[in-house]
Amino acid sequence: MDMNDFQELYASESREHLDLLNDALLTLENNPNDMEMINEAFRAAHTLKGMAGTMGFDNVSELAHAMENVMDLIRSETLAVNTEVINLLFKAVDMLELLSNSPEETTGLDALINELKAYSQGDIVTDNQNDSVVNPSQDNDFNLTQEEIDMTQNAQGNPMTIKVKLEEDCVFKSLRADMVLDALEEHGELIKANPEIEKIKNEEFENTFYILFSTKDDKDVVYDALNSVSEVEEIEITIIEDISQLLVKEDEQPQEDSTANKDKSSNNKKKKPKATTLSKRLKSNNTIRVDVERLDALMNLVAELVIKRTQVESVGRSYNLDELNKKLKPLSKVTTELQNAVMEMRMVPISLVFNRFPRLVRDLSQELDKNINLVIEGEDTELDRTIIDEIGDPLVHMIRNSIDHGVESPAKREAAGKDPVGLVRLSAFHEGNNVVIQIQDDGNGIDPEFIGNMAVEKGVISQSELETMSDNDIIKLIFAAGFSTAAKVSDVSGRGVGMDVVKNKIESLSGSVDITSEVGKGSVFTIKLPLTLSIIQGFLTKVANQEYVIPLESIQEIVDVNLDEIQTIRKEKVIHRRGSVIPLISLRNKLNKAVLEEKRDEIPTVIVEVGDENYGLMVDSIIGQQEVVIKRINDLSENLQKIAGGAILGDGNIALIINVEEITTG
Amino acid sequence: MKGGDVMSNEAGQIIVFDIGEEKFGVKITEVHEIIRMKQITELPFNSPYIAGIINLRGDIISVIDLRKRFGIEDIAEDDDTRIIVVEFEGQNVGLIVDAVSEVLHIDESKVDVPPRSMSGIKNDYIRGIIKVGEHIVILLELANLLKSKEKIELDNESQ
Repeated sequence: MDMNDFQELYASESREHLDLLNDALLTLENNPNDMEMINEAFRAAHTLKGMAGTMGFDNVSELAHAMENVMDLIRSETLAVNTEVINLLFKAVDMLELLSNSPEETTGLDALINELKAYSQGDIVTDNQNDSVVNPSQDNDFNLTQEEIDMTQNAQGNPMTIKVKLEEDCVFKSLRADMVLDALEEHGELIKANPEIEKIKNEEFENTFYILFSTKDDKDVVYDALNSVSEVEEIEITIIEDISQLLVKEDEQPQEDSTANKDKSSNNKKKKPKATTLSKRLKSNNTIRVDVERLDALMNLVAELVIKRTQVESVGRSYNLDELNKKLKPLSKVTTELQNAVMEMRMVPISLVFNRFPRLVRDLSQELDKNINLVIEGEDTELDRTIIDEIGDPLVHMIRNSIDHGVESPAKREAAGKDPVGLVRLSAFHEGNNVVIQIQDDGNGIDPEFIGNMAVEKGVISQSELETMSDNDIIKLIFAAGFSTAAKVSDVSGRGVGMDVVKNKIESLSGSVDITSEVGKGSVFTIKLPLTLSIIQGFLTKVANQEYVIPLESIQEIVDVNLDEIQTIRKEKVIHRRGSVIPLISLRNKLNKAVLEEKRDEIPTVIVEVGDENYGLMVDSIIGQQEVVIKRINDLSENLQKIAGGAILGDGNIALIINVEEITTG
Repeated sequence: MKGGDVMSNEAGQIIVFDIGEEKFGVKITEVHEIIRMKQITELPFNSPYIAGIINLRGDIISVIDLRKRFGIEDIAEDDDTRIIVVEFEGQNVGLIVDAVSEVLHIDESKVDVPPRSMSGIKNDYIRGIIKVGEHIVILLELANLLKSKEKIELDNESQ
């Protein structure tokens, strides 16, 4: 590893801790009494400080240290949590983020550190004087369960608590701690540690940790054993006469105010799941980091393999090589599994993107003097890494729009009889082979009249066109090129990047975006994205001597439509099926091909579902189901919306993949 | 003329190809490879001069029919028909030509500024002309040619 590799590793690890810090501060702002959160934030800042120290980034260390001091005051309840403090801490987080990528950046750094210092009124050197930095709870508060107490009592020998303090500049804290634990294990039984053993092993502690230990050996023997571990600064062994002491102690611990105590415990209870999920994200024991490029390379190889397999299959079919075909079946199963495995590897939870938004929404609502409650749902939904990387900016833009143009000011909301706190709901969920992301607000909605007039004014459509359009279509004009929605250009949105850019971006990811809105009630933006970009299951069909793939995900069924079944309603051909009317669409027609000359009694038709509607796509013939690798068509010409891409077939020819949505609605 | 320096710095090799009666040249540095004619997949809504797409070793690239681009009548492909793969804005694009005749070393200083309109092709698409033996080779400015959607009518009577 050269220094650059370290730098990269450092940056990506910093990212995790910065996220934690952001999360924790946000939660803290809403629940100022949530001590677990301030601890979480503190730990994150502390880890960052340590990491920066190792890398020699003194700027970062100093800033993180200043943050720690302020947070320490909050923790000791000397300083109340208020917007001002949180804003300052957020500012510091932003600075840290900047520094994690360009550690040499110094603009505004000193001022920020001074601001932080002003809060903490001088430097409280937490590291040296406060041993329990990471464990604000009692030193030897092991939070024993009854079971563990029984265990202690049943263990042979005397129970004792051991306090181990490592040297301040100890580099491999987890390693030293491990050695301490090993040394102890030779002499007796480890019952519990504070912080927990996993945390100690993950280096999630300051310099000190506590161990509840049971041994038959003498105190001095244990002491000597520990003292032989280098970089151990201090060892303190206390024999416990009565294990129940620990219990009593715990009860006594939260002092005087019994209501505060209650508060705290109920808070703790509520926050527990959150705390575990937070630390879960830091657990890196069973994971390795892999460069996305390597995964891409692997994906390409798998795609290549799938193509080659189809080629071999087509040879087997055309020469009727039964033996070969039989042998190929398990092979195709393996390749499909391989492909799924690689695809899964590339899947990351959308929380990677969503995590940015609480902060964004908070800052925006402050800036715009709006009160907004952001609800995030389905952040565990997984998407292909490439899509995750690309979807962030469009989402930021849409959320900004929702807050800026959608949600009204508190006064306006109250006047309209709404809750002064606006709601923005960001949700993600699976739907078939798609992932759907919705951004919903309960704001003022989009006024079709306003949009319509605006569009005419800007020359996007003509007045006569406008008159023939439905409200729903008019609203969709905000996606038209050259249409910027802001009634008055604000700092937040409307800085030139319009919704058309958002739409293009999403479409370039083979996705679609839709909008519904009701004046006074709010709007819903719905983004549909494919789970993955590269390999799909589809049905190969033939139209005018060319092969087309219809993605399996949108196919409902494949039928032969008898000519007698076809009816004409308002000049449109339809069939009745299971009680519903299905419009028929000729692919020849849609694809600009001549009408099929030959008369047929039955027309092979692929019934597809788009939104809630079914359509029948009439083709010349159906070849069969196939797995195809989507290749982007590098085309110079436009008007390719009806085609989602190309697929390379077994014989080396290209089949075009139908964009079902565009072909049915366009 | 702009780019004069650049030209003299380059190796000065061009690939000469035929379209109808004319000879054209593109810088060898712009050419990725030359392949034989392949099965072309048509796209439904093409500009008329885009022939379609081909499978180039697993990648899909667009192919432009230069005959159509220059408004010359179509001919059936034969053994000489080639696709010259060039790079344009980071992607590969194929150009269908009647035949690739030779690779020439040229002396950049002999490249002449083209007349205002050469064979009906606008100046923008022409980098210059050079005399090679009895022939005049029109050196194409590929970037402009590929970018533009404008119709070009190649004047067949010139010569």
